[in-house]
Amino acid sequence: MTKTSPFRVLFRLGLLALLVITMAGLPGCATAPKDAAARAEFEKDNDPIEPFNRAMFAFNQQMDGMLLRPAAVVFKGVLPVPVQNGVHNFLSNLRAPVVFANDVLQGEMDRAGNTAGRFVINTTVGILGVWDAAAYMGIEGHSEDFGQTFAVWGAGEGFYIVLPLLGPSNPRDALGLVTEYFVDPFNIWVRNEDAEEWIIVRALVTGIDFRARNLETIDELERTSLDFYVAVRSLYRQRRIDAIANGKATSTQPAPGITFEPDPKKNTTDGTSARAG
Amino acid sequence: MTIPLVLSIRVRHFAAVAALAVLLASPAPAQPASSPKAFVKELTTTVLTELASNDISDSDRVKRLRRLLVKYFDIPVVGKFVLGVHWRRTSEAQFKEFLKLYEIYVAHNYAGLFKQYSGETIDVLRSQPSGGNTTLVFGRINRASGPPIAMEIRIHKNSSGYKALDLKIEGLSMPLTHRKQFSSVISRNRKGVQGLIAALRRATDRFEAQTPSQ
Repeated sequence: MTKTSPFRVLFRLGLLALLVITMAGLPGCATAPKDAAARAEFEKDNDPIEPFNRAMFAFNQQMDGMLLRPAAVVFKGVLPVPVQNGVHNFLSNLRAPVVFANDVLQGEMDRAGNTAGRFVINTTVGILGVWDAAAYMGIEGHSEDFGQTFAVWGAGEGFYIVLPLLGPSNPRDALGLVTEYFVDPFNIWVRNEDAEEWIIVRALVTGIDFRARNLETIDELERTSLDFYVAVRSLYRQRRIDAIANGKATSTQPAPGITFEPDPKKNTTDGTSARAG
Repeated sequence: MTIPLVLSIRVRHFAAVAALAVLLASPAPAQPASSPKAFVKELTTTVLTELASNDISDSDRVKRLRRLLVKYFDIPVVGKFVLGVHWRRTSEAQFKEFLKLYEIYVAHNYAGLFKQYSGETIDVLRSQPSGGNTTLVFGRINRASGPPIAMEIRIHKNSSGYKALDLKIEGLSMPLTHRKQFSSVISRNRKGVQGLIAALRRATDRFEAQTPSQ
């Protein structure tokens, strides 16, 4: 066993996914609808590589069904709740330096102070972050990432892309992931110690923790969705808009009772007679 | 920044009283809510007392949810929104049929969320006017552990008083997510809106079959 074997496994998995998708003959682009209003909606969805994305989504769902979900079920079913929370707290605290850097880069000094304070308290009083002592004192945490920072700096999200294993993303957020991989102090540390497999271990446990915490929610969403792929795409976008605005988003998205489109009653472009609403 | 927590709802205290009230006075006098915040407070209180209980069967929960949806939401406006650009190609009869199925569909969607209820309380915080004569009411769901969850309800006033149009949890809107899915279902099948209605009927039939009445 060489030190880099986990990377080789991941690389092979990614390669396998690409191979499966290419063999399925699914490259190519989504076709835009002809109707003007429908096309506006299509452009807002910004998913030009939808056939590829759907194939990748199906691959990820397979991996979820075979590996991630079973692992999450075991994690949730076997470990006592305090241990589960300990794992989650430890992982959150481990990410604090990245969150802090992004707070600062976004000019959110109050939030940066909050993150720094929590990191000091939880690493010491909270025994390396296992116990969220700061939350107990009333200092609740938050998350940040480089994708959000790039957005605050004015970068658009770009088209939707489903990454192998990592799931929903876009060029901006994917660049954020790459940036985090290189600047995260934890990653730099384990690379210096020649123990890079801990990056994979951490990613795997983070994935299992996320899946376990959202077990019923994700299962329910899948069960009740008419088009699970589109549901996840829409929810990812909505979640990112909210996260970028730190939960203070003034609604820029369409909502019932607000029409951004011309009233169809006055404007029938398809020649059919409009009906009374 | 201090937010007055005037409209704090304590579920545990309410539960016993409300259960009694429901039993004793079923045809309660309908006094319309006087302000957006009061309306949302009434909505959240009723929803929590009627649904957040482990004592009711799954099918009862769905039935209650559907009744509350019709009572508190402006279903035709929400339905028009979720059909989006396809609404104008929907006949009167199709729209009626769609709304009936959509009510059941949404009731099942939310029922799953209430099954995971574990003592959460809801604070109604503030309201602010928004576009198209609508008002946004902001609230907060407090959990036993972990940070509170942000909640946002868009409402408007129609002839029978305030009605909800949209509910966002942590910035996630169910009507918007449905709109995107329905649009995809419509454009991916050859029968248009009729195809969506068929898909909704298949889904709701499946949900009904999956929901135990005991």
